Amino acid sequence: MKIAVLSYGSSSGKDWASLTARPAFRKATRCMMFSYIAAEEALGDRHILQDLSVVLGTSYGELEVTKEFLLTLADLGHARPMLFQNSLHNATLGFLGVQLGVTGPSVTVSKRYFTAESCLESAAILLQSGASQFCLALTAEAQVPALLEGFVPNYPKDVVLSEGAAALLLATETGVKKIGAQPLAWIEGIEFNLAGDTLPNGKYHDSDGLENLIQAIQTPDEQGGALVLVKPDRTSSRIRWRRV
Amino acid sequence: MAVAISGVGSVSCVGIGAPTLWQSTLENHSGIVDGLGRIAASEVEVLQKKFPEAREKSRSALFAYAAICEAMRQAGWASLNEDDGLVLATTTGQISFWENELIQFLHKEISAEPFAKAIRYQSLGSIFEDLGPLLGFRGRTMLVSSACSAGTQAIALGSQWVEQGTVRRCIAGGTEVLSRLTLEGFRSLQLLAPTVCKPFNENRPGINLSEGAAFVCLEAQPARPLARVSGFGFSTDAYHMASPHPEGKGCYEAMKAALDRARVKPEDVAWVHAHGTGSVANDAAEGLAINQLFGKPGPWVSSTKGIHGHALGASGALETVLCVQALQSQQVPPTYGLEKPDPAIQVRHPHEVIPCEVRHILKNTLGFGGNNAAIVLSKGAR
Repeated sequence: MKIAVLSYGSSSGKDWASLTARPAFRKATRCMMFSYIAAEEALGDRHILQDLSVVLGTSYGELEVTKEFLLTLADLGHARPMLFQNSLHNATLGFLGVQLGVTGPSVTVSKRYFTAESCLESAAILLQSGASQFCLALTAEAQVPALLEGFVPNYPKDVVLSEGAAALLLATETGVKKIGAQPLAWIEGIEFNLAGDTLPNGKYHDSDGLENLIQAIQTPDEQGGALVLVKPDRTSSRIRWRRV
Repeated sequence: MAVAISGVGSVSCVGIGAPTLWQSTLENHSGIVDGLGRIAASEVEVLQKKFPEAREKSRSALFAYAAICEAMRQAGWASLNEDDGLVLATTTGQISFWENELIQFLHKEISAEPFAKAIRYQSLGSIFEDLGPLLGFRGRTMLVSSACSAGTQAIALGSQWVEQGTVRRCIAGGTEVLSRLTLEGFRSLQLLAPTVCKPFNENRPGINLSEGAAFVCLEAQPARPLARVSGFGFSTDAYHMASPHPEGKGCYEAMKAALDRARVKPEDVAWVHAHGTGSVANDAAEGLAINQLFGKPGPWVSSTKGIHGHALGASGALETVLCVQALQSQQVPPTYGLEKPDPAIQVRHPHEVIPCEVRHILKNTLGFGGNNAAIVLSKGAR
């Protein structure tokens, strides 16, 4: 595997809530807004939409809307179509596709603790297959406050469940040459389900691997190597990357 | 691109096993009752007796496990190894384990403890925690949730995993169960037909939601190839969250990309196994795209959803199993339920089972979110 990282984006610390003022975002979920913020930052002003695929990874998807849909149905006896279409795991990417004008391949993946790694791996498949020369790998999770009490017991006690979206704009070597870009880094491999004996602590969500990779790339002294991501089930993954 | 399919397996509302699905399709035996394709309790019992190790697992895991075992048996795979892969498609995963509990928790009818156990299953990847131990499998897995295109995408991505050498062999397919979420959701969109659907008919009452699972075994050079995945194409409409592009633009692009990658000319395609849900918008858009790509007279075009219903994330996989059977038997099935073709959909409908030379089939799917995916399935080895 040799995939170039051209740029990145994150919803962390960004004013995603102001998006609701735009008519197109009136019925958007938080997951959708997080994703849009991260995607827009990663894409920047690059005019590559004609040859862009998007892979979105999410562990819990649009659970907030699913909850609203099922609750409305249970309490009022009728279903709301808007809530249904926004409840599917791929609704986030469907919304993003419309907003960004994505016409290339789009794939939604989900793999609990390894969702970010699976997202990168799926993006690599699309790039290596020639389905597109550029791919936006994007992960997003949104907490559901009303359900948090049920989520906390499923994670280590030192974990503070967080939320947000992160995006990496990836390219093949041909794509890099085509637009004359200077990659920030190369991703060279991903390994899953490795044995481990430590647990995550502090802020965590199931698909925060991309956020961690972005932080590593942002650290000037980091030249690459293996980014080890520890998981709540005491396993780990390794993303092998190299700074250019 | 040419990764072979060496085994197929399915569980659907017409019964257990790929041969049953194919026979039902040829004999016009529909599994739709009152507008839904539900797997009968008696069939579930049969599965639970046959696979006691999966008895306590979710409905979707049980269906998936049964279909995977059937496919592996046909392929002659005794077990899965660490260098093999599993790509699974679903839209709602193990929803039968948490849908009611979510409401009970919000209504304070259950405490956080049982809810915590239930909601773990909402994360779609949780299904691997059940299937992995059942299959004795610790290799690479991927879960695709691109709505109704997911099953087709899973088979395409699985074949790419094999082609790119990431895994040696791969099981790929989908599993889906009926749930309150999808039933009431599609009802709220006024898309459900009260009777058997009528894809491409002038008057179409809507779709038949269903459940089931289907998987295929993918490998580079099997001893007995049943078919090969010779091309794939994905696209996005960028048009609407729940409606296809009215001119079928994205659908056309996905099918064209699949043919281009397979290096198959449109005139060499014998059958387009259409998504053909029976919804007004889907069939019209898909018909336009097929017509634009193939012209007239074009290949045979039919949908089998009147037989097995629309199993959402599993539908592309179920229909791929039928494509493999069609390549094996050199027959093209008709569209069950089609009485009076919609004059606006100018495609070549088979009105009965057509025995003919079938070298290439294009399996097409469209999904919510403007997700389109198509694969080309071809006869025999490369």
